[in-house]
Amino acid sequence: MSISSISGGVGGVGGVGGVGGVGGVGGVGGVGGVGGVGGVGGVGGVGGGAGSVTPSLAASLMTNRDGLVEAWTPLTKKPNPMTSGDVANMSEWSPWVRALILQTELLSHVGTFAVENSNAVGLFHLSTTGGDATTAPTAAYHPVVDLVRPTDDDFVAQTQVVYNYADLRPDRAGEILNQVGFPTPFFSSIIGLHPARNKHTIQLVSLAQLFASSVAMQAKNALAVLRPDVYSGQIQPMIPTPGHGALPSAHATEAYIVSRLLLTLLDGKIEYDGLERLLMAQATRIAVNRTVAGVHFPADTFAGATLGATMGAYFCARCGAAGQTVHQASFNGEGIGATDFLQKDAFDGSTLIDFNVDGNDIIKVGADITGNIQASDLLNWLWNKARDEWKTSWSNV
Amino acid sequence: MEDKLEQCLMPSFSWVKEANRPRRGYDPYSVWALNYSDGFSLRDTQTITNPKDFTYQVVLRNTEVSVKPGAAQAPLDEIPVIEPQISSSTFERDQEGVVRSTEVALCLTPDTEVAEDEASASYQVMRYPAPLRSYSIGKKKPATVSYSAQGLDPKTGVIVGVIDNNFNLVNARFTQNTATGVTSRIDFAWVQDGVSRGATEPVVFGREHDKAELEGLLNSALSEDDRLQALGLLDFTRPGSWSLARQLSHGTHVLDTAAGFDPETGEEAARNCRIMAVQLPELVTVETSGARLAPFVVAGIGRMLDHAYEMSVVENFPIPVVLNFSYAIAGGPHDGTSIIETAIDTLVAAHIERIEKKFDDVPPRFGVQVVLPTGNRYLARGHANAPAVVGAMTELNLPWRVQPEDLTPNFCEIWVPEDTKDITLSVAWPGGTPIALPDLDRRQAMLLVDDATGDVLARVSVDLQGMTPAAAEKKRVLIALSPSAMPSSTNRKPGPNGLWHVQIVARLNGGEINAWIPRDDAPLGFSRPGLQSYFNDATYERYTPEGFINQEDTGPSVIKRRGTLNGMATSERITVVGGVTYRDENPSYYAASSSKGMRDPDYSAVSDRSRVIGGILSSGSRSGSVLPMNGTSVSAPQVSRAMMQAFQGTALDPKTLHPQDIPPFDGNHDILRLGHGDLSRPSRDLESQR
Repeated sequence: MSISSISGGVGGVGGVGGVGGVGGVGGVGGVGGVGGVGGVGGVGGVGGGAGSVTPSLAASLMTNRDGLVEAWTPLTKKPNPMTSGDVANMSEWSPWVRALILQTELLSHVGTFAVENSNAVGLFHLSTTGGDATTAPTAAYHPVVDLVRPTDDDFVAQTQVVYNYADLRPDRAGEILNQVGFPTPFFSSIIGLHPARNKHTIQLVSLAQLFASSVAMQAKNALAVLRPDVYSGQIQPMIPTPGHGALPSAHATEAYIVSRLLLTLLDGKIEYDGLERLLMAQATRIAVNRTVAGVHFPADTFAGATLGATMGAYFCARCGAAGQTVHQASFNGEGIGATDFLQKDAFDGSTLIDFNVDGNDIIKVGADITGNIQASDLLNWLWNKARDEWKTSWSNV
Repeated sequence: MEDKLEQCLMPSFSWVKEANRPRRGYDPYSVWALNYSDGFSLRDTQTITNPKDFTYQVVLRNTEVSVKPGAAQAPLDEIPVIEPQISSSTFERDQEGVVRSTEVALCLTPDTEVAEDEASASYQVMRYPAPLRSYSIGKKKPATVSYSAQGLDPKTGVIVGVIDNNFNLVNARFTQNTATGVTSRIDFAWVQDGVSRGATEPVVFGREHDKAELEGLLNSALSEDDRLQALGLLDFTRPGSWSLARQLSHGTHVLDTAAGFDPETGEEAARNCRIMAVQLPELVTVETSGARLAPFVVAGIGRMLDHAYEMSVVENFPIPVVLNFSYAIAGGPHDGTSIIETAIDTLVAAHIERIEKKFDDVPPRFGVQVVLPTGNRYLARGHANAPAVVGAMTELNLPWRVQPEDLTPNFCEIWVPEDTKDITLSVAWPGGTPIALPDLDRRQAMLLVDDATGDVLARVSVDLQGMTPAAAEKKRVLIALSPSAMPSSTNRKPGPNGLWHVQIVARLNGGEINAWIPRDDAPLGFSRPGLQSYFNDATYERYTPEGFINQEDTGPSVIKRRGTLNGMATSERITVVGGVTYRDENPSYYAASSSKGMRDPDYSAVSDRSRVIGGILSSGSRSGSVLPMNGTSVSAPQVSRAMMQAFQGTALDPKTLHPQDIPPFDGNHDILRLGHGDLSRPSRDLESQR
């Protein structure tokens, strides 16, 4: 008998991720929680063997059944059915399945809109009311963040700044190479994340990174910004230039979404001295390392910071984080010139702030849109699980 | 057919006399840089953001005048002042009737004349290109800045002044946390190539930061990166190396060793250890031959001593000063008469004199110490030497290997006593035959030109460092070679690479012939395209028969490890520090050596923890980081620190920080490399760094 080996949904997912390289090496592997960096499904982890069945096991199960089954016995006892649509069911599914569900939950409520040749793109939240299996809900799109790309003259000025940063490459090479994929270990090292203790927190972080990545890719596709090494042959990046546009920086978006997420997650649970400073400085370092590597302009980091900070607040609000406010924000790179990215120009602590260069509004923080952003029960399920991981005997709050 | 082939393969160069003796009173390195560097000069190889970038020059003038006791200072008044002055100090010694002065001035217009008046005074005037951008140039009459009293303790108040590169002025090691906020222990920091603030800038070029400005940033919510941006110490929108962004920076590490304290310590000793910093222009440091150093170092020391004087007046007691300068050059006369050593001597003597004039009772604890390292060129094969054969001709043969693809010029300094006669220099370019240059003298330099293009490939000149023959004791032959590779932006023909042969034959009455090749590679934290040339002699024994790195001058080679002492650390005024490997108490491999005829180092301190664990630990660029760094650069600040502690009364006596007070070495040790006093005794700090 030949039985093809079933590697299950896991392999399939990983395959897709491999091609797309979303977020780089090992990115999508994080989806299934299998093989993700430090994820639950890491080597030897719970998900490690899930879904993979060898031909010999299938054959053994068949022969073994022959030996045990005997004649059909009509059912006299049966289990209680699960309640359909119950959020609590989430604990029954594999991590990779939950990841797919939550990814879809997030992305299906985010719309990207851009008009050809407008140099601008906007991201909108889709709110729905009512609806059931056969009746459509009422729906509306609300603006969350929009990005306008810098002018060509701006990019020419920015290219020299990228050139000037190249001197730091020997110093930062190790970090750059270890940050090509999602740089989770760098954040883990600050708050002591461990797969056994913090598996839901890690899943939440991976989810946020993938969400940030998806959103950033939508924006990159719309804005179609050329990379520094296309502007000048003297940039010669130290890593291969990724196959997507420069602005916004996905690394910056992913890094700032994680710092926002962790700060909100730990708020009121456990206090660390200098936590805000460290998490924000870490995100900034990851983002600036990309300029050192020669694959991003400082403008890309401004755009990524705007997107990451805003979508970070959005993500936490969707997760039902208590007291989370969301403000609309705009990035407009026109007139940014040779301005370098400094954290203090984009943030006050961890809050995104207005930034202006010679009368040009580069970052503008807009209206409070918290009321438009409904929490999702499904996301809230994971959020609460993650919060509970911090209710330990170490809590000092 | 063969003749034609030979003509194609053999380069055709000729030696010609240099016409019109260009730029009298210029340092020969400066003549080379200003007249013969087209195609590879700073203006050719750096990003120019303003047409005036790198067009400036700076003048250093040492003057010595004999004055009848009691006479007015008229003779100095007759010497025209150079404008705008950056620093000026005058030292009077009425009893012996000598008045000395050192001045540094910036020339905004190139080649403005500095009048010479050789009849009435003894001069040493040297002019140098100033590698400054137009944004660094301030006002002719800079703003005045005044110092506010801090209530320093007359028993422990001391100033540590450090000249170096890449200081993190807001590093926590230079601060103290107090109940009312963070205070800075840095009172003044002059960044010589910083962006000038124009009318409000208290220095003629660059930018000077003060305690108030630093404390404003230290007590703000800005991250350290953003603080450094606010100070202009990092700015990636401007061209430059910005080495302060790297993990390790030379100046921050050295300053921490010399004067760093835990910011949590509330001790008065820390508060009373005041810091001053002078950050040399990046393009001065990057020129590792030291050719651009002298005027900037002298201006920096002058400025620090002027601040020290003002602080002493305001605090109402003479504040002792320790100056640490962890740089070295290979060349120089090595007898204390280099222009930079003479200037430092004058500045320090002038400062002591004005303190003694101001204060009736100068306590014995007052003093000024200047500390330099021995240098790291022991094994660089950059020194050769021939002692005089009295009654006959003395000869020194130098096989000088120049690397291919070397984008910077190569230099060789040959020093002989001033009264040396009948000097014949013979030079053979790689593959060529020796050609004698008999017409060479102080008034006539020789140029090697390419017959086909006229490009200058080498220059040979004789100079007395700007002194008169009566005053000079040594003279220098400087050989400057064009780079063996040129940037793509020029058509200038590069010089040949390979083995040059230089021979000097002369009649000496005593002394010796010394040749030194200046350093030509990248300093720590900078990018620089130069490649080091060296003396390449088959009889030089690099390894011992057992296979160890040979640490002694064995065999017949003219190449000598001895006599590689830092050319700025040969005067008696300076405290010279060698480098020791802690684990075995031997000199570190690279630690340079004096020789017969040069002064010995004074002390040594640890420059490597062991043969396999290099360097010593001190602060990295960023607050809270710790990194190893090696070299005699890290030995000098340990002695500076010991002197600081001695001035505070917490350790040995600073006035006699001397052989008998510092623990002597056990048993035999290499005095020429390590001096007489050993600061490398087992200490808890060093043990914990294992």
